[in-house]
Amino acid sequence: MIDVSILYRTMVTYMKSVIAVGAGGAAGTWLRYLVSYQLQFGFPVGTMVENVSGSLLLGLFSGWFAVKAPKDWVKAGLGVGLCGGYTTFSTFASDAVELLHKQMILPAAGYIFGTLFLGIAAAAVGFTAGQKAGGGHL
Amino acid sequence: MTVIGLTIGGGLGAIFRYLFGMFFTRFQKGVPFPVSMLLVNVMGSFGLGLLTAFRFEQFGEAAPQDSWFLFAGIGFFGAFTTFSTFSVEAFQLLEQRKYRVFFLYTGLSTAGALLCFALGWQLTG
Repeated sequence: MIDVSILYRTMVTYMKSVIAVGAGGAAGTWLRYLVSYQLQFGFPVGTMVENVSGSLLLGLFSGWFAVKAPKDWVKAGLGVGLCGGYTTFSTFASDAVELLHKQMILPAAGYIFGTLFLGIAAAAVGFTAGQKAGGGHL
Repeated sequence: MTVIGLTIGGGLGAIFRYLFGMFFTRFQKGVPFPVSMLLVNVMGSFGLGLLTAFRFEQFGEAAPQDSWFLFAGIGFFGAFTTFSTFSVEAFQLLEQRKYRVFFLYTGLSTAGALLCFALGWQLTG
């Protein structure tokens, strides 16, 4: 299903964006590692803080990009790379399964729904604020 | 080793997500549903589940000192999957008043990721 020649052409065409995404993703991963390292408790606070703050940041960028429209590689580097690499769904799933596995049903439910609710709310707040900062109207 | 593992793993994970997203957009024209990030998050969670089972007998042993886990777990699968794009996409569905798609997207992403993580973890465990 995946055509290698298309992959190659896409790589060349989007090389600048690909490099920006790689650099942003590496920086985001670093940031995520540092935050997790600082926030180690029995409850996965670190992942929650990252996913919520990263959603706020991507909301801000998306709202701002919607008005200002910077270059593609800038958008890709900051949004797909930095915010995408800083936040994570796999560790969220891992944390949730770990809590469920330990029979911590209420903390698991609080973690899952808390992250979902706060993350989406943060994205909404960020998007609105980003549009305003970019000088757009709602 | 920590620096190199996180940098290469995280960079590659983000690039793979970016390329996958661009490819998938070609196949999902007209589908009013953010399928590509759903697939990325579900597949990445499955991968992390496999890795967790391969590297560790139990949870909690996934110490940040293990260089394979730093590279592939925190780096690659951590950066390949994303929560921020999920949140923004979910918010946009709400904004467009597509409530059914919103619940389908958030529900499938969450349940799918948890189930596939558990599946990957159990397959080798």
